[in-house]
Amino acid sequence: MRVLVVEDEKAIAEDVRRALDLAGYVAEVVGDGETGWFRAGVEDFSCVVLDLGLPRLDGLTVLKRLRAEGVMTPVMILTARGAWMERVEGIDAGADDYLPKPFQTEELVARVGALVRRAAGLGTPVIEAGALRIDTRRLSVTRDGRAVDLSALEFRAINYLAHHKGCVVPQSELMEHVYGGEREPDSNALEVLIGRIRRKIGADAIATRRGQGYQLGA
Amino acid sequence: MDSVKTLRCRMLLAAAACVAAVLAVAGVALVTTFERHVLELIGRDLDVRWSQLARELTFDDAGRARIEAAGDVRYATPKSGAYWQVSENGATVLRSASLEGRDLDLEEGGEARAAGRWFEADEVGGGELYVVERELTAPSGAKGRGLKLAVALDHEQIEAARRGFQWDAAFVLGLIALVLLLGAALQLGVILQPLSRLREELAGVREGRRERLGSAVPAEVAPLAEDLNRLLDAQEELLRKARERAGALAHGLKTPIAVLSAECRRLEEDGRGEVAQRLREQVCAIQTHVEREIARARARGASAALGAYVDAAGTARRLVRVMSRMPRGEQIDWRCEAPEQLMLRMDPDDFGEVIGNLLDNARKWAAGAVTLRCEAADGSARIVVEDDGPGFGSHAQPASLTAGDRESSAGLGLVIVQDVLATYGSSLWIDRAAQHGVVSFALPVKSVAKAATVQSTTSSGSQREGMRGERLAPEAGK
Repeated sequence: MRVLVVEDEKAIAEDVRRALDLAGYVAEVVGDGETGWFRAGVEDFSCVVLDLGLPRLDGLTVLKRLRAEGVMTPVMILTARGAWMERVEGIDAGADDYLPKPFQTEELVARVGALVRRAAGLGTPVIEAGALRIDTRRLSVTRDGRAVDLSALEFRAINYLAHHKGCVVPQSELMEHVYGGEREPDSNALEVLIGRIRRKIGADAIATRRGQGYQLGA
Repeated sequence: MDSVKTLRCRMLLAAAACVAAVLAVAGVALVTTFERHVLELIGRDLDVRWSQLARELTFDDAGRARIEAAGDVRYATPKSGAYWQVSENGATVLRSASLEGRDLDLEEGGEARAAGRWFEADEVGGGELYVVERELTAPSGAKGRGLKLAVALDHEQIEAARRGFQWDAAFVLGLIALVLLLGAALQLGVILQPLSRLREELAGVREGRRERLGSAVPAEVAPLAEDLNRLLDAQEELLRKARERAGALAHGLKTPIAVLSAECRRLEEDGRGEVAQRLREQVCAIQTHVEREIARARARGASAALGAYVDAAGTARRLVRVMSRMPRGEQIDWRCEAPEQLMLRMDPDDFGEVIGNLLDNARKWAAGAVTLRCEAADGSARIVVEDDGPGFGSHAQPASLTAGDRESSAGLGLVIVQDVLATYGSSLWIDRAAQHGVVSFALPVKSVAKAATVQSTTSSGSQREGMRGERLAPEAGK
């Protein structure tokens, strides 16, 4: 799950990135509005955490441009300006949520999770796929009621597939959301990762669509 | 005396005084001129009478003067006001019957008498006479005898004519005064019309019907309108800058607070939990103060919100949209019951801050439903926010607004609401007797178009009974 954090204050950006990473997301940070607008517009993110007071291009303009361009990625606004009518303005501009600073990172993570789930059409933080139960809050997976021990990377992969349950996820897309767009993993790293997951949750849990991608809950 | 303070009354009084003065002078001049003309007429009448009597004068064989027919019956009527007498060498030899044997007192005549011009003389029985006395040179019997004929008319007829003229003149001048005053009033109406329009426009600005005064005012008043517009611009600019400063202050303070909060977490991760806790407490205390002071700085208040008004239902709906995206917001049944286009006299941002905080408080405590109700009556509206969570009476007030953590600072929103409402002379009421959470406040209404209930969700929320409440103490909250 890739989350783009557009925040110019390095300490806050780092704090948010670490909290999101710990919550099973792949957080990528940019420090100005222009870069944020560009990357959110051309890359695939599950959510954008957008500060309003940004250099080069303010957050509200970034948001309006993205929505005007048809980019429907969920956007959470972060701002120090917490007046209620400013929040209304943000929501009217196309934001999906609004979190005033200072905030608890736990709250930010929970709300990012809610946005990602809502975008995937999921009502609860627990996703069921056959015998599998993926708890997106506890970052845990059970099969037939038994806990499955997964690494962070493995959980990212199954979490992303669970959010797209029933859909075929292209290999390149899954790779981006597991490893992040800035890193270049080995070409067979994802296949190795999927193989490890299958050994833990069952070979039939994740189907391979040759030439298309992977599918959970077919 | 207050009515004299109006420009219209002052100008009308001044016009009335001018009209009265002018007409008084005109009246006196008219009467004087009339009297002069009447006297000239009297003089000519005396000349005619003297000539007639002179022609009637005859002498008998003994040389005694005689006038047989005087031509005017008044000469034969006692005290009629028309007299004549003939004197010879100063001694009266003949007189009209109207004199009843008395002589005319002609001693006051002086030069006019000597010159044969008319003059005034006292009448024997009181009153005044106009007299002309000239020496008789014809008929032939009169020559060399020093005969003089005097003709007199009394003053009463002049007085009667003058009195009659005075009344007539007063009536006509009164009519003229009335017309002039009506004209002045009409003129004032025309002159003051732009000022009335300006007053209406100013009321429009105050009530929010228009932003600025119009430019279509007379040149004399245009500087005043321009100054007022400049004043309004300056006030708006001042407020805008104050809000910008508040925003900048918020950004300037909240970002470091967020950084400090992040440092707290890092300290905790490094195993320095005690230091992190102390630091967190202080950060929270700073945050609480900052939130409240920034909210105060942002609030425009009634004095600054000149002519501002807010669409209550529209703003509430927009805020409910924000609430429904917040944690638990989706699970709550939000209801908004407000007449369409209910315009309240409050700055929209201030109203948003008040309703936003009340709805946010309700969101945190509601079991499943929140209702916002606007009840308009008698020029004011009561806005009620109800939730189906625990009532205020069952919850202690927050331990301290400076405690900092999220749970104990839940009352901060309500304190901010109270601060904002106080600037409008209103206050927040909390129904502590209610089983569930009920808060309300009242605001003056600008207008309401029609009664209609707007429902933000399909399910209905629970209805509450009448309010029994108390004012929110500055530190209260649930």
